[in-house]
Amino acid sequence: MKKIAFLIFISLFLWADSAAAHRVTIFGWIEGDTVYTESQYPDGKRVKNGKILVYNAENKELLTGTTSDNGEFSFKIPKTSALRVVIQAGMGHQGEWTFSGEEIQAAFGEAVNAGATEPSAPEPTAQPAVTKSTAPAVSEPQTPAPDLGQLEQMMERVMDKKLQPITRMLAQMEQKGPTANDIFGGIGYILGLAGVAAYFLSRKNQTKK
Amino acid sequence: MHLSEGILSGPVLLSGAALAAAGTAVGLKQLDYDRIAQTGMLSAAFFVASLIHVPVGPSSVHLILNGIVGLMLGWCAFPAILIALTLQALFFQFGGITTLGVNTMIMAGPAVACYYLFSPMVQKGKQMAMPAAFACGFCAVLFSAALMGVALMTTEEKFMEVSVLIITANLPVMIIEGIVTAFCIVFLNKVKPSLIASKRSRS
Repeated sequence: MKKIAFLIFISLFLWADSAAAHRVTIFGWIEGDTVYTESQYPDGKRVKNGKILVYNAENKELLTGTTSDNGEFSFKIPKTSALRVVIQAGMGHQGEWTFSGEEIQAAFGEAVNAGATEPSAPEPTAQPAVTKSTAPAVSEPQTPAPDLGQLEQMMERVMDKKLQPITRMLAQMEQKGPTANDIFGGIGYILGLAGVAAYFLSRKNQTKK
Repeated sequence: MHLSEGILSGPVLLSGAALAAAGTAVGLKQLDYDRIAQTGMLSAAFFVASLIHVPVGPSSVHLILNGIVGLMLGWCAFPAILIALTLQALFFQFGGITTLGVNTMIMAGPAVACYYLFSPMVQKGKQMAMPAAFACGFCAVLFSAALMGVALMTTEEKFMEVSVLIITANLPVMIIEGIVTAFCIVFLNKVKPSLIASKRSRS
């Protein structure tokens, strides 16, 4: 009988979602012309099906979307202005991440440059190879000039790739729950406040006497 | 249970803050020298409780403990919860400073209501104490969930749907709170019955 009660008790919890969390956090970063975001609860659970709203500096809604099972959502930068990405996990839970105008501008500028030079990119790559094999000594001084922009793009891409795990790690760290310091600090504050209150009340009692 | 910043509209925030301030004033008035230590301890317990995640099924829930805080403190639950919530907002970024009033109201209001509903029963009968304490813990969270639905009424269009969702999502919390409250009260009744806020000690 007790076992059955226990089973019922346990099964009650199976449908509960992590809606009982206290806050949601969102972490965003830019790669190329795309903004990536990751949303989670303090215990590390990802926000599934959370609503994402993207606002510009004037609080105008630019686009909306929902997060994936991993709490991720990405979108192309819609406009070169400051962006505010808001995650709504429902039931009064909301978090946001802002990108400054410069951040977006820098990323957007790169992306535009990349877009402009990309179509012509295959040609220069082919050319040096050909010239090198046929007449290496003559063409050598010419090659650095056309390569510069391309090199930058390539570096950009490589760096993005290399930095991705670090960005993710940062995202995780940024969204960590409270630490032991916070907890004990808080308890200390409460006990201290109780002490202060006790002190003042005891003085009041004494003066009465 | 903690409403984040930037969701509620100004009037809701203001009325929540006003109600919380009134409740805190009543609580502070009743807070005499003998009850300071108890209020502080329960405030600390409340502060930590929401960090205790109970893993149930695929997800985890956390304790709120507003039922037991109300049962043991009566109106003093308001200052206790207000302070704990302030520190939670500052240290953990749970809720927020602007929503402090509303959040205090959501959690301390039901605590006081449950104090009036269940305190007489808990103190009177030996057999009734445990079920009454369970009901106290259960109902405190239930009322909190309902109040939260009311607070969100102005922002979410589907009021009934949201309220029902909040209540069902918090059902496990209610049951766990009920059990925790029941055990604590039964234990305290045996060890130190004077700790449970009684009208005798106040009059």
